[in-house]
Amino acid sequence: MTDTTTLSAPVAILGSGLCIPDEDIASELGFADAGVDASVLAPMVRRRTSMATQVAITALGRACTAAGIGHKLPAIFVSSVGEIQVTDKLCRAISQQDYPLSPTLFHNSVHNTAAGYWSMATGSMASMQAMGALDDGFALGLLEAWCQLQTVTKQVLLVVYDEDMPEQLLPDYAWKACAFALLLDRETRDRPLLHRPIQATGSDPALPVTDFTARNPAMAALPLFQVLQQATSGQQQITLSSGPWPWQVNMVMP
Amino acid sequence: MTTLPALPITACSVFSACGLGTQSLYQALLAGKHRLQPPRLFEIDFPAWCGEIANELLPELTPSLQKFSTRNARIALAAINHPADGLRSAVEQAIERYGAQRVGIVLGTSTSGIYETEKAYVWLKEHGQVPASFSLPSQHSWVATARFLQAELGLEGPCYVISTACSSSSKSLASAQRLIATGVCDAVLTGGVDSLCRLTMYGFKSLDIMSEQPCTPLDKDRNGISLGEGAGLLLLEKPHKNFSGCVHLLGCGESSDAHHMTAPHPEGKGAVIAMHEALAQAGITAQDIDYVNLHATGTVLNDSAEMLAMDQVFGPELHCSGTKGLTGHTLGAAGGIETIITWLSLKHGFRPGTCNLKQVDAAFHCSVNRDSETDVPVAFTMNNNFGFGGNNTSVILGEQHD
Repeated sequence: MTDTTTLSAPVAILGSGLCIPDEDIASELGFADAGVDASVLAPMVRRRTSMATQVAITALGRACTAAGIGHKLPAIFVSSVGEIQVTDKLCRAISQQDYPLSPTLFHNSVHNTAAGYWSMATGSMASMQAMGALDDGFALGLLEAWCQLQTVTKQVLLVVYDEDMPEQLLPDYAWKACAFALLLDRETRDRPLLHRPIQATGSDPALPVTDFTARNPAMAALPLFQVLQQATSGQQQITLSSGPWPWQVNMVMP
Repeated sequence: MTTLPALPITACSVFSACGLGTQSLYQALLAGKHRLQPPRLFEIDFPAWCGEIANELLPELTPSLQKFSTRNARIALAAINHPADGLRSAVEQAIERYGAQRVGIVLGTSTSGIYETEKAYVWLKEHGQVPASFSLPSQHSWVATARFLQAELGLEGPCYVISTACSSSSKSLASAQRLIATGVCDAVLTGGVDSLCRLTMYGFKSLDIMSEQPCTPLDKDRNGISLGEGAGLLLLEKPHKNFSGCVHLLGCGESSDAHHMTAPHPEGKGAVIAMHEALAQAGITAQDIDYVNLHATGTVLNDSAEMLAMDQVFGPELHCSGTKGLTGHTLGAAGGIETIITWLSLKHGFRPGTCNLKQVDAAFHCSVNRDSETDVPVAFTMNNNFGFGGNNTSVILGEQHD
């Protein structure tokens, strides 16, 4: 088994990138130049891909650009519902018995659509993970990344994303598309460091309660990205999820 | 990279068109008669066969967890509850042994509760809104079935879903393995579940790869897939001398084709990487493998690419077979169910045959088993699964190996 000294081994953030296509939301959150830039995709592919795929690929591209490396790395794509707009179109067609279905819409409905297009665009033959855990998604994506870094790879890309939610599926919430990406490294030490995400064992009344699902579960990455943006040195505990036992991560800024 | 510790599979269970429980699946593999039939769950306007589970075999969810009720959740619950496989009691023992927070769940699924979402859209068309019983988080979201099992079993560790189309549940095994290898969890319930729906049935039809007859993987005249549904669930635990007699998970390999959304790399380049990586992680060589359960979907392209990849890794003496002619292609559950088929191969010293195979494609060089062989020594097995997006996995099971 892995030596217990590695149990909380920190990993470094070599690059980060985000995409918030709605300019009002982006500026309210204090992020500039957050629009979609999926130029890594060929123009014909870009026209066929959804907002979900494009925000994920945009954020990943920015994280790689910031780090100056990374396109061929293993990548972890975290989403709650993936290609929900494509799924909406297919389910409407099915409800109207409007057959045959579009073959392009069908293969673009799988949850690893963004991962597949990223791999094809970058030529990366590394592992592409597509995973989901709703409002725990960012926390468990970080945990999956941390586990991969301790066992199978020295560097990994992580992106958490979801696109606009069709209104009728979640009437009380308005999810707007966004994506947050990190390029993580096992060995570097002079960069922002993240320890292993841990789950609170009891409710801490001092913690702010945020319902990340209200705006989009990918927004669970926001507190961490705000710390990155502020770049104040020191150590702090960041809440990564909502719920009775929220996930947290200890982050150290250089 | 590093060799990961061999992890014991302390319990597993399976549900498919072959019936409930590992023993039913074993008997069906020995008999080698397909369980496919035209779909009864819903009408379709083209000829197709599928491995469907009869509605009356699906248990109801407990009233307090009704918000999670989907076909997917009910299939998984049946496998959890099957007494002869003892998966529920093994999970309960793991909770007692390690504490609920040390027991995680990583499940693979491609469909999640989309069958219920389809019904919600019919209601939407007629009433202008989805029915009150529909819950996007608890039924449609990727993690819905895993959250149900977490609540049903009282697990408190990490809970997430892998959804990479047809490789989903073999990738879930790899994630579970890492959670234990790094000490995050002491036990993880893993594998996968998928259920039939119109979206996949008409979707694969739109790609023109649905066979009009029961599918015939690896046959020279193969002409497409037959869909299936089911669950293949396994409990992985950290190594302990008490589990030395268990079949162990030895290695997982994961790769991408970087080639096409639906077509495999023509020479199986990504598949070769996944198989080599699994062997390296298990610390064994290709010569050590006694049986490979192929992905073998039954499409002309998929089977050809996989067998070209096999030629690059194995010699002609390697025994392999495909079992989707028996169960149908269970998509996100295929990795779980077919890993359990290799578990059965190790447990019983047998190599399954290739159901519906008449004449193997002459272009294939590895030794494709048409019929099941019993009383053969099997120490190491591999299971391949490849999905849309060029997503490849190989999983190696075997005796504990130092």
